[in-house]
Amino acid sequence: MRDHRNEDPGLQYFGKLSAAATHDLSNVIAIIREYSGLMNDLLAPLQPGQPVDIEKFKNIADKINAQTIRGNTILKRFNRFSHTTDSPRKLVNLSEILQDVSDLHYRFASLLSIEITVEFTDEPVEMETDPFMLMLACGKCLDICLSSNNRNGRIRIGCDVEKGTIRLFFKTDDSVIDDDFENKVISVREYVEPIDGNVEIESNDELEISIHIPFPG
Amino acid sequence: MKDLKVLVVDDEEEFVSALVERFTLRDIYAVGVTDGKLAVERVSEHDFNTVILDIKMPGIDGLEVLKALLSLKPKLKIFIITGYGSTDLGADGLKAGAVAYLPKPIKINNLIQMMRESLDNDGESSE
Repeated sequence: MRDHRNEDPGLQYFGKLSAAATHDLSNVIAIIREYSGLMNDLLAPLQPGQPVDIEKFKNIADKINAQTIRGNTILKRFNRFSHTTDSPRKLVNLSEILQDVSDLHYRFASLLSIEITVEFTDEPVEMETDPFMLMLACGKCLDICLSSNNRNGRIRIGCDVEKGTIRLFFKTDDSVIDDDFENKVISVREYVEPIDGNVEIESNDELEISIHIPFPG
Repeated sequence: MKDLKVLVVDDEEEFVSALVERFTLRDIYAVGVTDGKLAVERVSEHDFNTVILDIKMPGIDGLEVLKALLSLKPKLKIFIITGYGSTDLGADGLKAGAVAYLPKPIKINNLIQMMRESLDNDGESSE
């Protein structure tokens, strides 16, 4: 049977992030279900006219509310990502893109106890590009950093502009190179070329991946 | 009726807190932890007969936790729960010795019935 994932890496990436987002939403719903069940459990033995522990119920209601806010954040973030496929060319804010990529990869990083921090530029940097391909390229760079980092490490991502070029960087404080490293680097180059960029990789004690994109300003 | 002594293991603190309280309201002894390493410590220190274990947690791999718990106490009844959609992990967990694999959200009364039946089938007694 033909494995279409290699022919369509975007589909594979979309599937991976869909699975992570829906897993997180499943956890949110499970918590809401348990707390609503708890409310019913507390009410069940009461007779009409018996007092209710108001503070307790308020506390539970607040916890349910917090989960709905969390669930809404997850949904909005994933919806934003889904809409990156609407158009092959759109004005995007690079810090927002990097924050979205970081948030969408949160579960993968937390499973490895790795922290991702986004470094924002002082002024917003916007450019016209293919938003989905840009997120795919950034996501691939982040994946490489996650697989090259020991547990409990840190990854810093951000962007800067210098001499007409935008640089998106992905830095780990560790550099564990596995057998598949070269293939991963090749795949990043394939995603970056459609957005007119090129990739540089430095690997010493730390790993730093940079995507350079011409920026007319 | 066998006495259940349940350890709930899930990285979602609110889930653990609510579930433990719901067990307690049903006169079931229950304790919760939010990581696998603590789970292994608790099982080695206390007399639990049942564990509810999230198979996908940060830090130590859920399957490794399961195997570590069963090597400590082979008669422990472990029920895997997860929001993770893939059934592969569930199958791996069952092969490693879990009693059942349940997707979240769970139905507590069904879970309690399964836990009690599992202990009864073993003929175990906490007394």
